[in-house]
Amino acid sequence: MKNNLIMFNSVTFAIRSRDLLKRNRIDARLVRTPSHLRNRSCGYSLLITKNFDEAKSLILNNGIRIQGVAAVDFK
Amino acid sequence: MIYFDNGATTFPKPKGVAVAVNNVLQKYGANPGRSGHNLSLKSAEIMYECRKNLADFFKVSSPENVIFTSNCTSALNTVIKGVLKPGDHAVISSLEHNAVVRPLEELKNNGVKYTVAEYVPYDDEATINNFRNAMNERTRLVVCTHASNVFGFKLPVERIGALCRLHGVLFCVDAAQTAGVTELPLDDTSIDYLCMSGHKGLYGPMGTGALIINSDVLPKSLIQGGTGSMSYQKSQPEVLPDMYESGTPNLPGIAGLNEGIKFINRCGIKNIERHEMRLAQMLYDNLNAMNNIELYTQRPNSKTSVPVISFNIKDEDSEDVAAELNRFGIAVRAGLHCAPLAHESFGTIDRGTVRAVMSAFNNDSNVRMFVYTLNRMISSKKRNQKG
Repeated sequence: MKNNLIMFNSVTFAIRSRDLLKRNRIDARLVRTPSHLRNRSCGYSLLITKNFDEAKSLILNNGIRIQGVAAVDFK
Repeated sequence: MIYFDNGATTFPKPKGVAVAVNNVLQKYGANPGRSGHNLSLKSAEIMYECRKNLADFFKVSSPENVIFTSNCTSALNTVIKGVLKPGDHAVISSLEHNAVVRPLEELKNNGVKYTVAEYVPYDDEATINNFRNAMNERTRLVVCTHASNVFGFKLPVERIGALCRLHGVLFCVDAAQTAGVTELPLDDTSIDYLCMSGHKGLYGPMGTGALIINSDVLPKSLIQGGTGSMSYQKSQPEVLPDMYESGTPNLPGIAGLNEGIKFINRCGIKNIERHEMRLAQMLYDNLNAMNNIELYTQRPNSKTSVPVISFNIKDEDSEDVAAELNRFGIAVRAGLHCAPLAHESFGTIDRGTVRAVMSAFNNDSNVRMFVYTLNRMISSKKRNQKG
């Protein structure tokens, strides 16, 4: 299964990344990071259905720290 | 009521501010950054929007470097107590508010020392020299107001910042009186920490303020607790802005502040500054033409001042004048304005001054009525003295 989730430590980074992707016409949905992926943490993620690698690269190139990536089934 | 106490807090606020506060209370006031439901996400979006708008307003590229605080005082405390360690030395100007002086006095108990650099009116060169002379090899931080909350003088913060860079000293600016009143882009200065209130020139509700960190040197956090992030970790997350924002934030205030910033952007900060300065000049000219009025500055202009007028009526206590003005429906602030250093410098420590500060919501007729009232008060006093 391909990755589709980018996880963040802070909601601020998640929303900043979402806006960055939006400006670059990549859809991303802000969601709470599922518990089994949190490493006992709390956090927010972006659910990305298309252009995942490009999205991750854009986020990292803009100096935004990510917590990790994962593949999940989201409704 | 004519409200000229905008230096303490602006009033009234733009209508959109009240609407935004009410929307949080009535429509989506969930805890931001804590949950995944729609209301919490909406709250987090509003908080981020305000953070982003503040970052854009002060030309900072990373919104996470904008930290929400409860006021300018708490922002200043974070920097002063979070940066200075035992054995460190700080330099402040002679116009500083107690929000700067008192934390430093407290830190004296922990082996921190500080020196006051005298501000010399209308002489940037002499002021810079005083800052240079006040520094020593232990100086770690310079804290300087952008403009005096008593007399309105603007300090040469860009040059002081350059001096700090030259000596490897961190530089913190108190923008309580200038944020939203005059431009201060951080991409073009050597300011490491910018502290501001949200409820003055930014037209937000009381209980709002911000610290903008424009440096890699992060002050230690003074308050630790729940941030909604990295909850498995017992120690405070070292991630901005969460590191400094423990506990549930003041979302109604932040939503209101967001609308205050939008209001300024719609009006244009330069237009607001021109409007307020014109009113301040009008008031100054009228006061200057009156007998028995003592003024402490030259005619204000945007290069040297923000629109703050301090004055006294000869031989009158400033509090008595303010009380009398209040009886005529005029709100001003008298006394020491929490800035005794500034009053010591200008010889007004014994009786303080009467301070009038304009906002975007004041107009010419407010100034005319103020002058008319003051003239009546002085004439009436003269008649009483003769009688």
